[in-house]
Amino acid sequence: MIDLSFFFQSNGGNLILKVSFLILEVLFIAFSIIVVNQVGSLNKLFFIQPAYSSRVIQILGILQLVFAIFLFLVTLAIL
Amino acid sequence: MPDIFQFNSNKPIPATNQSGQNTGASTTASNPTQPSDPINPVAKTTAAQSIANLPQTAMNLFSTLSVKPRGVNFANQDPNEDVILFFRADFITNAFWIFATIFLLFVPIIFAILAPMVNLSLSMLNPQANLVILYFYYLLVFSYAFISFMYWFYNVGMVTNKHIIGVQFSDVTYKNISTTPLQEVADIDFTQQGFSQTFFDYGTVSIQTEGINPKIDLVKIPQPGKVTDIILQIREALNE
Repeated sequence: MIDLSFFFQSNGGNLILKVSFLILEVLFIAFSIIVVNQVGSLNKLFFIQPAYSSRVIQILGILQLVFAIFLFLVTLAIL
Repeated sequence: MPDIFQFNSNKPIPATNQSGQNTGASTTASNPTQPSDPINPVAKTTAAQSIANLPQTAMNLFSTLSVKPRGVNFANQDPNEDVILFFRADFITNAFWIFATIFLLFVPIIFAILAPMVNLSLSMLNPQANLVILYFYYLLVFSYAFISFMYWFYNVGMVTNKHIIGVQFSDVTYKNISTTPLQEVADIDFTQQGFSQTFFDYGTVSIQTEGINPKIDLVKIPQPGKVTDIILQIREALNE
């Protein structure tokens, strides 16, 4: 039986793997920030009807960022 | 009836049928900067009238080709500049990432079914850790679908009564906006190849210019024959 629990052992677990997972989430947060910025700048470049389409994309980008931050905090609390 | 387009005799004649759709072959039309026939006033009015008579098409979230769209504008637009044509890649080009996303949504279920068969288990993890992994995975899947949709949504082209504007957006951090005056357009041709492009009627319109960007490719746009015709009409009207 392959045991993957060492990834998330709370006591004496593999610190490198835990930190790696956290770094991955931080990178994802950075990526999400870039996406939100790009959506904002592209929406300024040109306006496309219907007006809600650009807003929907912007909101989805922000939701992704918020969820990524939330997940990072949860991971930090669990590990 | 006079021709509203001036074709280069060295190039093949556009292989379009009466409805303006292509017949599958590569076509080329040219030229450009020559003024329209001053002797024949009918020719002068035809191009401008053709543009004026183009039916206006409504836009929605998934529009791929709109003629004279309402409410579309861009930065640095001249006051008397109107968007005549708006296009982006045909929606069928999204098929790959849509199917990939649907498959990825089911991967955890497939994993849960297959893992015990290969003696792979996450049961030793505490439930919260399992949830974090699962949420992060779905966040990545959502991100993949979202970015793919963004690439499609923001890679657009516009033809105004003065310019051809192309917006390229890729790799999240790269974007390029090219603006080419219609007077610099020297040659337009479109290509459709393969079953998918022929069946769903999309292809690549290539525009040769005399400007800094020698060639503009409008990739995978719907009804390339119609787009080519409209660009030629706009350019013809501009030369009048």
